[in-house]
Amino acid sequence: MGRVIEMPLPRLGETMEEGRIGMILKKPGEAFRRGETLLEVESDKTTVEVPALQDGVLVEWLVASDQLVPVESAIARIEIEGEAVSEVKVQAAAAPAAAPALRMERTAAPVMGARPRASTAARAEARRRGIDLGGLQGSGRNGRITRGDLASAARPARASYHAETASGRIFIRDWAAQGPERGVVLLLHGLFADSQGFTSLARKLAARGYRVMAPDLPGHGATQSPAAAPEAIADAIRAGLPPLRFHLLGHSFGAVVAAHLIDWAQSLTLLAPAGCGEEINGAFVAAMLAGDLERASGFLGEEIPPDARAGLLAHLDTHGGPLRAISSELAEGGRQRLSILTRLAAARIPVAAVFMRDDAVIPAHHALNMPFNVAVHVLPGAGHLPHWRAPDLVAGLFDPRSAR
Amino acid sequence: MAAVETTYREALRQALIEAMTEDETVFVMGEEVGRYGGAYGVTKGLLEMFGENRVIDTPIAEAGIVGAAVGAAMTGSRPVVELMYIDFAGLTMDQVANQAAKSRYMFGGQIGVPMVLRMQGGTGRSAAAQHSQSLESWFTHVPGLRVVMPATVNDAYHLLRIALKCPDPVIFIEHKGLYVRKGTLDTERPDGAWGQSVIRREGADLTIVTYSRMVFEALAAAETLSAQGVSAEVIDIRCLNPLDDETLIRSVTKTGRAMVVTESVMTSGFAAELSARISERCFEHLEEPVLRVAGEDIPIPVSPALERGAVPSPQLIAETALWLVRRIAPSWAA
Amino acid sequence: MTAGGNKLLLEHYRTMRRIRSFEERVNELFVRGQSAGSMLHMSIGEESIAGVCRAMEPGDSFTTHHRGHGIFIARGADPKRMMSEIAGKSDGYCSGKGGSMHIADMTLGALGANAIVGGGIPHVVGAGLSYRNRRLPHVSVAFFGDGAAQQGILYEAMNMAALWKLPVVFCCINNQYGMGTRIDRAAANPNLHERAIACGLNGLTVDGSDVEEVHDAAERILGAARNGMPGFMVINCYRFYGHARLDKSPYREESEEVEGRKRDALANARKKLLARATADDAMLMQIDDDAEAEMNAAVDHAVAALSPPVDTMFRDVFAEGEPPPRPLRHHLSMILGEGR
Repeated sequence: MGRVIEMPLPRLGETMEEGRIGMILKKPGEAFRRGETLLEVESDKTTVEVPALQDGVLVEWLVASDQLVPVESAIARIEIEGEAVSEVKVQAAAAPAAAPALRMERTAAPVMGARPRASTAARAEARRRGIDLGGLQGSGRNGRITRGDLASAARPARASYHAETASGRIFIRDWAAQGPERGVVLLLHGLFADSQGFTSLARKLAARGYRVMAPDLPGHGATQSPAAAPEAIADAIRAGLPPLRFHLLGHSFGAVVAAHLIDWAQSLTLLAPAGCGEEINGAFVAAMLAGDLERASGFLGEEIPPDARAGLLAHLDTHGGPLRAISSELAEGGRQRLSILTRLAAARIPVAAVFMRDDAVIPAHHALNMPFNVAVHVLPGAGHLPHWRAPDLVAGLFDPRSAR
Repeated sequence: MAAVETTYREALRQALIEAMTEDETVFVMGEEVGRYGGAYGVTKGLLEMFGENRVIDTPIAEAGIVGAAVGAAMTGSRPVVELMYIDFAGLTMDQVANQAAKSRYMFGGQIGVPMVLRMQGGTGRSAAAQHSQSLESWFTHVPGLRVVMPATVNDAYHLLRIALKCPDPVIFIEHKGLYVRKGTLDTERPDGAWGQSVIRREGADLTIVTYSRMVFEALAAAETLSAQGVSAEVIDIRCLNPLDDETLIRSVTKTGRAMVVTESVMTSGFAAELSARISERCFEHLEEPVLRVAGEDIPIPVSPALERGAVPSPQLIAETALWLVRRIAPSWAA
Repeated sequence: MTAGGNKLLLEHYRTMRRIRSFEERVNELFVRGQSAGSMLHMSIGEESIAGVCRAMEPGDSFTTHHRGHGIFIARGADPKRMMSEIAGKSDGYCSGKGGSMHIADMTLGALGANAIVGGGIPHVVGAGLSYRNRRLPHVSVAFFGDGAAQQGILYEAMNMAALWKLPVVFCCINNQYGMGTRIDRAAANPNLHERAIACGLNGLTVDGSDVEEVHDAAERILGAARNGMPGFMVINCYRFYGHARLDKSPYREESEEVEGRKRDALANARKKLLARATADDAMLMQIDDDAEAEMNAAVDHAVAALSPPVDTMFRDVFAEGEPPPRPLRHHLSMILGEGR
């Protein structure tokens, strides 16, 4: 005979922690064969006959009937021959195979026109605060911009950014409101101008608690978009801006664009608006297209600042084509081709129009064409740029405390 | 009555006994519910207490049993059917989905089917592919059914008590791995109302939404995570229908990160429903995509090594959470 | 009995002895803590199904229930691979996916082993349709218990088999218990074969303690089925132990068990063989020892066999060559992985 080993109480079920020894069927000294029942054990669920796992001889019982014994503690000593079956080498559990390799297919090419990576929370926050995600470095997963990135980014008094749209890249200037925000003003500039021309007005509006946004219209400034017809220009602007309810302000040709965005507006203010009568100064348009800024300044009634001049000339070089296209949409031979008067008459929001009495580009008598629902202001003085000449007065028109 | 320590199984049993004592129309039927005392021992002793007319051993005929319960419920009784394994629901689906669920609606509110269909599912016993499934979404996809899945001992008692007063059919899904689990039963104080999600652990960094056995796996993971400085909020939804998603929304609005953990397979599972609701309602508050950590899209294999690997473990939940919150990738992501 | 008959009985004895030893060793596997779970349903007391299996021809198909170990042994399955499957090991018949209730060797004509009561019954109707339409001479046999006889699907299947005159046999192993419910508490009329006759099938009940009687009846029923007359046979026997490994059988008296275990086809065959002097004690002891040695080796094999690698869990959800389901970790990596 071989060696004496201890026989443990087997675990007979997943929840069994101890077992009660039942009938003992073999006496010390008795031989047994593999498969012969040695004893019975009761668990919480059942009574199990415990068979011998190999041939052998019972040496002694270490437990008695009715005794409660923890699982795996020794219950008997048995003498067995040769190598115990229970020592069959278990290769199985030892080698839990590795989880499948997780090679991910990386997206080979970046998606064309993909928006910047940002969490939805960061996007929402950026939209609320008018922050251009394109200009930010993300600290999140795969360079994703997180809300934390926005918080750490110093909040600029003025931000500018490009919005990617199906109609091109729309450049937007965005001034944050000072103090609690009372609304958002959208400024739409005129032909040959750009959003920078609104800087002074925008600051005054921001000081009054308005957030101010001003895009460069297609064909102008830093915006790159082929749109030329007023409807297409309005659609491009719409695509580049968040869907807010704006106080709309349009100057000159910008008034025509604004009239096409009327469903977006809480209020509409027109400065020296185009589209409200027949006449327009064809010589002014021609001078601008020809780059004769001296002559154009004369009609505008304002000196164009030197840096703006340089920019404008460079712009005429590169964007002459689009500008010509827009100009010819607007007017031909000193005659305006478009009218927004029907749109204004149908408006269900407050509409105001401001004219300069001695405007040399668009005559002040167009004020007489206005539908009765439009509040008309005719300011004394010359020039085509009321927001340059009288920014406080224009800004005041937005203040709800001021009479409209 | 003061709170007592007991098991999930005993809590269910006590709820049945009290309901049957209070309401004579309640009766229990199913395979082995009488003499055997239920395959998992929930109905032990009920036969002796309430007699053969109210504790009915049935032949093995699942479709017939559930169909009979529908008829009984329509005629003034309140049957509690025990379906031994949720996997057997396949045999009963016409009676459940076309009869029990639709009768009230189809007949314009003239009749209701107030029955409770108790069944158990889940893995953990190497019971193989036809005895280990998590099929709750079969039922949540059918309007007209209430679906509850208690995790705690207290919920086992209270949700069953409420189910037995519910005017509509209730699918009451237990987990085979929870029956011997101990916990506190306070018959005076439910964990929450019927149809209310309950926060089992508060946290700030992410929200783990789950139910049934996975509540404990998630809580274990949350414990591990807290040692690593990540604070996880664990929400037990308890009732899949009616579903309280407001609690989830409030939590994710706060944490900005959400993980839905289920034992059932991922594809078309209830995790997808929860994940969609969170994504829709918390879109502007999310720092990360809503993650589903669910069972693998496979039948449950019998081999213990494979079976364990087929469903989420506390370790997997914790690793994934750490990856989500701290961007510490687990070893398997190499 | 003819000499051939006696030789056949010896063959039955050997098969039944192997079945019993196998089942006893399944218990050993469980006690060692090496079985995958405890849902182990023993067919001890039902060994005379060897008679039905012997009456089947090569090419015949069959479905079994959760208590089908014996049927597979009798049809020629390898006990080592069966035991490995019960242990959830890689070289088991189902690669560790199925376990005790789903052991199936398809090369032997098996169409599955079912853990849904009655689940496999209707498949033989479809197999019968295939054989009829493809003019093949095979029979398909459904093995199931008395519990399944109460499922509606059986009646749908029997009706179609009779209606279309299919080569199909329904073999009900009446071990008297559907889990813990005795047949007289599950069926108002426990003469189950009468139900089949009412459906238009051949129907009979045989004494399961006599393997020769079972074999003779099976030859008749299968022969008729092969000629387009489907049949239903009940083998009356007794389930010696509980429903599954962890079942105390509180639903029946010990005296009933003692009485029931006397209906022992193995012991009866042994008695007959000795009485007819077909075999002597030594010869039968040798058969017993061989069976035990074979099944001991099966357990040792299963214990030593490798567990399946974790990634095999994704294999066989769909056909080979099809993309497997995406693992959860892969899914998470796509979302949380960096460097994209």
